Amino acid sequence: MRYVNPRMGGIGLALLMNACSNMTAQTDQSAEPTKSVVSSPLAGEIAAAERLYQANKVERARAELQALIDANPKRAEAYRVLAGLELEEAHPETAQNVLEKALALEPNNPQTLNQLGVAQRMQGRFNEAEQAYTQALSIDPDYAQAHRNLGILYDLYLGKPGDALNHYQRSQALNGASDAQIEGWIADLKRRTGTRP
Amino acid sequence: MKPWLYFTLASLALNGCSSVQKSDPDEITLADIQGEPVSIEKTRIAPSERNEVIENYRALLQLNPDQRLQSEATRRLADLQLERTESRLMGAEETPPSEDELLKSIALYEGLLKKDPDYQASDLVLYQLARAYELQGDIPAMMNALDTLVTRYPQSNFWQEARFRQGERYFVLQQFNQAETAYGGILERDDKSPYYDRALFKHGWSRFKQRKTEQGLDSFTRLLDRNLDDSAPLDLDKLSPGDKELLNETLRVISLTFSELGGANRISDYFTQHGHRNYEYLIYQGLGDLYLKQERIQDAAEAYMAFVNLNPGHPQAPRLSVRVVDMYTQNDFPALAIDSKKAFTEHYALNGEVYRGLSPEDQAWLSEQLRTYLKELAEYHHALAQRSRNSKSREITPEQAKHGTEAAHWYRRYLDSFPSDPKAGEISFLLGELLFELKQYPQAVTAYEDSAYKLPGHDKQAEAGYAALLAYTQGGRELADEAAQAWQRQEVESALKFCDVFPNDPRRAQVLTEAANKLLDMKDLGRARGAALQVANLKPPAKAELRKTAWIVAAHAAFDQQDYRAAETAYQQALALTDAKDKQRKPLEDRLAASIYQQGVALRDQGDPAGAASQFLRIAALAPSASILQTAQYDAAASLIAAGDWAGSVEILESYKKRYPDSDLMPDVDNKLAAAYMETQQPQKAARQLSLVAAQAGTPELKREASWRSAELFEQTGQTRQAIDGYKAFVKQFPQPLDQALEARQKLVTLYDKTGETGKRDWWREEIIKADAKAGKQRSDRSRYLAATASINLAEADRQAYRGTKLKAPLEKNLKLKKQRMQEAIKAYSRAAEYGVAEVTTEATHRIGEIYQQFAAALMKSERPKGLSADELEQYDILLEEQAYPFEEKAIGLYESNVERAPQGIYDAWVQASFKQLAKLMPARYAKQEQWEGWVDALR
Repeated sequence: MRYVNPRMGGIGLALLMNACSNMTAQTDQSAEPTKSVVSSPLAGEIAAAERLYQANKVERARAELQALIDANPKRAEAYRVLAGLELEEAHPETAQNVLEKALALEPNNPQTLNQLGVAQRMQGRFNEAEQAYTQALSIDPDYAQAHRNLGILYDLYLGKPGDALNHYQRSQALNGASDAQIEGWIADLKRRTGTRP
Repeated sequence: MKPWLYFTLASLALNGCSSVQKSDPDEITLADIQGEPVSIEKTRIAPSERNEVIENYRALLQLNPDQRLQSEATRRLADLQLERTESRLMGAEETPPSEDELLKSIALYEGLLKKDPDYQASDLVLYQLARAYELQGDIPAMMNALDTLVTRYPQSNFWQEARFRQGERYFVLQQFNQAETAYGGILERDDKSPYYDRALFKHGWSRFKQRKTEQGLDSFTRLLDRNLDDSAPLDLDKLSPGDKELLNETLRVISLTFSELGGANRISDYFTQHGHRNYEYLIYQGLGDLYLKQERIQDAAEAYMAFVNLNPGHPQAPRLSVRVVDMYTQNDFPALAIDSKKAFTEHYALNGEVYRGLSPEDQAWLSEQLRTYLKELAEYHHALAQRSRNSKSREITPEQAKHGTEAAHWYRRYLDSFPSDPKAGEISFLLGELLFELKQYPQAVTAYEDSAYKLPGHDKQAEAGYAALLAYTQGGRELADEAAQAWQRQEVESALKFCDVFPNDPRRAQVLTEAANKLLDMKDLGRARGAALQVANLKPPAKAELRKTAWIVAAHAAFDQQDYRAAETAYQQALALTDAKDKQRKPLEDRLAASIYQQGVALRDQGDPAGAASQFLRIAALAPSASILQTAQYDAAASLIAAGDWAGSVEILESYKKRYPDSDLMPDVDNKLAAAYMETQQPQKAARQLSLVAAQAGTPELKREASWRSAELFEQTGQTRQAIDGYKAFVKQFPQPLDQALEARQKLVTLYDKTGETGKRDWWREEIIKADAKAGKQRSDRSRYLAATASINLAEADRQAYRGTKLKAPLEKNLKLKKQRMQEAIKAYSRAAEYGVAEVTTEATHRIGEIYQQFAAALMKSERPKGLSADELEQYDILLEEQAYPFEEKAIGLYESNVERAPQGIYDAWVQASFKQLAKLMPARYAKQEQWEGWVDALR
């Protein structure tokens, strides 16, 4: 009957975890979705789920997506859509679980790796996030969103403004210098780091 | 052959010698002597025929025949008439005898001798004439006729008879000198004569009568010498009855002679002088017999013993000794008889010199005598020893000891001499009895055991075997230590042998039981058990008391052998035979319980706690009054716990608490019960139980642990008030070690927070901070963390106070108040941040930033003074902005210092909150959101 109080040591961590769940990650939806050929056979169901989500019917949207996954367990894109919903709902741990299933189906999918980087960053797992983004970029070096996300990681969370500048510039270059927001970030960084504009 | 009737001498048979009752030699006559008759063949003629012949002879003589015929016819006529007279005298004919006819015969014989002096059968005529005279009673005439015959016809066939007849007549007339001469005449002639030995006998007698004793002895010894072969052992039985009588009479007269001469010494002298004879012993014996007849007992004994002493190695010496013994015995001289027997046994030992010189028959005889005497001697002294006993006490008297020792000696001589004797077993038993009476127990044991086991074949065997055991018991009382132990070992072996050899003896069960008991005492457990079980299982069964004892012995032995299962069975058997009120019952139940308990211990040692528990629990049912029950119940509970049977242990422990409220083990029982309640999901009971443990005596460690666990359980089971009391008591009772006391304070903070008693909650937060501050070397990361947490939570009150202060009129006063509360809150957060606990520091940093940011905002929202113009109001707002700006800058600085912790991996809620605020305050810099493919894009 030795005195043991296992819970005592865990309180701090628990507090942190609770705090994380309260944080809402707002995805920037201002960028226009890339127009592309819709090749997935699941497009119809996904579009339906999206409509539910846009109508603020989050639970129903999640249930539809889960049903879609259950019906098509080999379709990685279904997992990615669900993970996106969870990221928007600031559930990075759930998102990461879903993404890992997608990666099991398609280990080198840059989109999945990019989403994984976001999920890990939201959990404060910055080095793992860096690794995920870097892997996505090694597969698709011209993946603008991944450059942007890695730039943010270096800028705000890892204190590497030079690296951040590089990736912002790369993203901007890939986007054809069309993103005013990134343009501003680049200018700000250059100023802060003493780099001549 | 001889035509005469049997000569009168025949009636003078030599029967006198047998008349041993006559002690005076003068009374002995020839008529007493019965011997072989002088054989003169009878005329076989019938009376009627004889009468006719007589008449014929008479007629013949009327015819006047010639001389030769006349003489012959005359003699024949005289003989026939004499015969007829004799026949009639004897009553053989109806006609009475006629003296006339006898006279006629005498006249015829006398006439013939005169008429024909040269008649060729004149010696016969004289012989018949003597006979006729004797019938007529004219003894002188008879003697005259005989004298004529002897003188004139020395070669006659009738000479020796005539001479003997003369000797006899002289002897009767006590004319012993003439008799000696007459007998001596015969002795000078043919020693083959049938009259020789008788003449010799009477010759001796004649001399004896004349007091010529030594000369008489010469005659007698000559007679013996003639008849007893000196070269071989004497065997009188080979003699004819007549010769035997003659010899016996001769011996008798020799005895008389020596008696006259002065006794046994003269025998020795005589034979030393005349040469020793083989039959000498007969002389001594005869003298002894004579004395005995005369009731001269001592003289008789001396006579017998004289020979024995002179001839100790003679084969007849023992027989004479026996005669002495018999004489003393028959004449009521017991002491002398005993002495004689002792002397006998000393002289004639088996296989001694005398014994070896004897014939097998004599050896057998001697052996039998020895056997008889040794037994009689032993019994004699044994009886005396018994008679000499002290009737009042068991002390051994000197007389008893003396006779006892003597008796033992003779018993042992008997046993040494006749080890194979059929009576040896009985004798050994008697020896045992004697030695027992003399309290010589070891020797008694030997004798009894010999009787019982080495000398079988008698009906005292079992008795002896049992008596040996009694002797062991008595003997054992005088011993101590090793000697006593050795003695007891022997006793037990003897007892077991008794039981083995006498399986049907009624005492066997008793003996076997006692043996088993002693074996147990001796720690010879296996044999003790074996013997006891034999008794227990006897068919038909032994008495209940014995069976009970046997079961107890078997049980004890099995227990000591650690065969506890068998011990249990045996104790139960013993208990079944024990009355409910018997005082033995309790100790037996205790032992039964111990047997069961040990079975439990064994299983426990073998790692079978469940089995052990079931054993311990059996005691309550089988031996409810046993002293060990309490211990067993405790061990049962402990074993059940070890076996994981917590529910079972609860039942036992609760029962234990009720039954043994004063048990020394109570703290441990309470502790175990608390654990059991926990395991059986009864935390409320467990908590109460632990509070009992904490309140009881016990080690500080135990009490502290119990106190903590109790409070903890109260908390877990929602008994908040009890939990609070428990933790408070803990802090008070166990301020050291600090870490646990601090945890208790933290528990109180949590519980008071739950009950909404914030004042008490915060009081305990202060207590935590104080305790950490004073911890010294005991200060730890944990104490710092708790203190930091307490500190930052206390700051919350300051923050609320600050936030609650509104900047409204009167503005100056309220602004001052708000600033003051701002400083207090910042101070409180700064104090919390000083602990250097990351998560507290980020919170404190964020909260201070927040305070500054809110102050700036409050300034901007503060109530404007009334009555200002538009310009004045604009100026006032500008002034406010200038006042607020530095606070906003401070806020940004603090938020940034927080988010700068992110690269170090610190990304807690407060860092994230700071990011959030910065995104609002400096969106260009901090409002940067990651992007990923949208709904449809994700399909690519």
